[in-house]
Amino acid sequence: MSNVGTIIRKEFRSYFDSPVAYIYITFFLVLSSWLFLRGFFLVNQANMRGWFGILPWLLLFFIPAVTMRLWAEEKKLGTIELLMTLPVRDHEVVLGKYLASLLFLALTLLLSFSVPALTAVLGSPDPGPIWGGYVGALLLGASFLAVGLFVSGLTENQIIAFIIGVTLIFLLFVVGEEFVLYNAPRSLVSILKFIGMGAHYESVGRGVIDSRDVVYYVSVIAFFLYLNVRALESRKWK
Amino acid sequence: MTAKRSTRGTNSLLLVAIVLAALVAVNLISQRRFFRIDLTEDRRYTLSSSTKKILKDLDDVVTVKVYFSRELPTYLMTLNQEVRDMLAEYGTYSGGNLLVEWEDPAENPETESRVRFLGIPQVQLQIIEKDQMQAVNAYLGVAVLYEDRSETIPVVESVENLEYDLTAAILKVFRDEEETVAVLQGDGVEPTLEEGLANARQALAERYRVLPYDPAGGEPVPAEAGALLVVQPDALSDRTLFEIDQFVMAGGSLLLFYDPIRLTAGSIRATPRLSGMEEMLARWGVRLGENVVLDPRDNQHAAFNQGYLTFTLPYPFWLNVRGENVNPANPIVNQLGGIVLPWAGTVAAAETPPEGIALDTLLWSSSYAWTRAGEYDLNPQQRFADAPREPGARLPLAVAATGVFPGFFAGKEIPPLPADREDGSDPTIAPPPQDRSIIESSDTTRVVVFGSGNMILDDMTNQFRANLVLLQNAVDWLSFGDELIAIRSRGVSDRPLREMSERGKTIARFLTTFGVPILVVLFGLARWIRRRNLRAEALAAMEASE
Repeated sequence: MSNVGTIIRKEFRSYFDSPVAYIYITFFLVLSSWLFLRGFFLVNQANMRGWFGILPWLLLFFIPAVTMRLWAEEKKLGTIELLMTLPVRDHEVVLGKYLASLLFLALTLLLSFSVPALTAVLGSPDPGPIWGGYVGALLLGASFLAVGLFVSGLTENQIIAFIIGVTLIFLLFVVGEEFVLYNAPRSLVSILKFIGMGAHYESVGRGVIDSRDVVYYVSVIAFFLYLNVRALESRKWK
Repeated sequence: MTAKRSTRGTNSLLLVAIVLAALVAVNLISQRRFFRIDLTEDRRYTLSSSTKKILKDLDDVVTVKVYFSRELPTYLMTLNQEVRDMLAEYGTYSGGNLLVEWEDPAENPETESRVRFLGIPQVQLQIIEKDQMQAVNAYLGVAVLYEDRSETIPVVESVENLEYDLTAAILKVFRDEEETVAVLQGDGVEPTLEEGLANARQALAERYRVLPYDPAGGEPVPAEAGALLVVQPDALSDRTLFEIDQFVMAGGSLLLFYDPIRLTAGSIRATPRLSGMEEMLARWGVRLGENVVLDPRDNQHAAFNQGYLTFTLPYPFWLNVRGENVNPANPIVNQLGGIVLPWAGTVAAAETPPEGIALDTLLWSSSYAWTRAGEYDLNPQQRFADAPREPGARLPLAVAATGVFPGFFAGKEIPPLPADREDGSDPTIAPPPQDRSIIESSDTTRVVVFGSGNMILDDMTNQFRANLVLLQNAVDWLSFGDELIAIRSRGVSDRPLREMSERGKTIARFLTTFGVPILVVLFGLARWIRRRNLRAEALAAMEASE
């Protein structure tokens, strides 16, 4: 497991060695606050429902941008061959890269503290839904990351990884949303609703943590990480 | 090599399928055994013990049909979700005996007519589309169906009271016997079920068996009645009081609409009216005002005839209770708007309630209201010179009492039957029955008093339908109260921001949006500079060593 720790450290560090991470974080924070604060004083309520409502749509672009590089770059530069010859197991590399990106996401979410701080200074918000919202955001983002990481492993072109990532996450996200369900055959509704990543995000954002949603997100993460490992292995046969 | 590769490929796919199947299985199991942690301060998403118990005790499948339009304005999407959430919560505790179906009535003419038959109306909603206000028609009703019985919640406007309404509906469709409501007739009570209370009777008959009760024969209130309705009592005899008292003592609940004045046909003057129940109610902590409330702000326009002319005027004697003056925690009134109390007297809760009784004021006038007592001039065109200049305290107009009531006749004799007032003939005073004992204290029960009897008479309910809903709610609350008592209404969650100047807002907005990002960028620059220096040092060291 120390291998995983080493990879996490190396990967996490590398985020901050290029200006990209700072640009991402800055963009994310400015955009989320700005979009949220547009309506905040109009609604005049000390809560973060609006912020957590915008979040999935920002993460939809933010996460593939974070993950697109992770495998595609290694492939393009050929460093992946080097990585694979190192005495580390495939799943350790996948896990290391994944956890490093998760750490990066957690840090980004942590840096958004100015928004809850603002609601607390200007009113008396119910802290429960805010904590719940962050737990939900982390779970949702973690699932997006797993999908994004997997997609990045499919290509050596970062732009393609980004576009496929956004598309796949978007599809997985909206498939359980009302406007899709309205037009879906009745027999499929409950299945689609279950698959949709957004439907599981809803109640966490309200401050209700349901064990079913947690199990769902963990399953999605596990599945895509597993796919990622398999995809890596398949390289070796070529 | 190709063969080997394809086997490995197949194996790989198979493994992926197995992993997927395992994960699906885990998720299916998790659907059955799960828990929810409600992090909200007021446990908004936690069902009450009453509801959980009622759901657990379901022994047959009950269907909840949600007739919501699919296309709802964005501001109702939360409601839609919250209703879903609540029904999902219901489902988890019902052991599979609660079937929830969603249907948009507009999609199927057959459904639409069924929905209309169930009493679910189409409501008009405002939406903003392409920057234009538009009105759309939508359904927001819920029906609870069991066998051939149905209970409806015509319009769900918020989840505030949805739990109460839903659980009450489930209770009602399962109830084998119909609950009975007795209505006091005779002993000076003028409005009858045929005349004056015809609308009220009809509204009650939708859900209850309505039974007239005449105390003239000396009979007690029928034991099968769960609630007794008394409208406009007029100097009730002691014997009638005794029967009411004993009914309450036996666990029955009392719903009273008293009237402080006696109107005279064709006259604009009125005389005070005493119900005869003042003393008994005072013992229970409810004080009838012996006055009439006038409200210069929250009142109803009324039409008056003068010769051939009909004109409408704001009429301070007809109180129109506004939302902010309705007790938000009591399900009789908290969903209602437009409750009109004509010529109402105050109904006040005692400041220190009698032991064992909890008192709740349900309705108030505005803070501009004042009272008159004595002889009443009801003329709408008079000068209301006695109106106060400054707003004062709101005046209470209805009170609900819950608890164990002390018997008003405890330690007294059973009063004799009064003489027949109608024909004035030989007083037939019957001796007190020997076989009856006096119950001296009640079980937990309820008494609800409204300050206007006119408010549920036909003349008024023809115009003000909300008053009939109020009557139904009150009887529901009195009949099902015990089973539903643990259900609290979910307050509207309102956490407003502090008052702020525009400048302050701009600063707050700026700090929140750019504060942290600036720090992040500064950190990045510092790190970059440090790395550059390190690199330069390393290069210099390398050069030096060469």
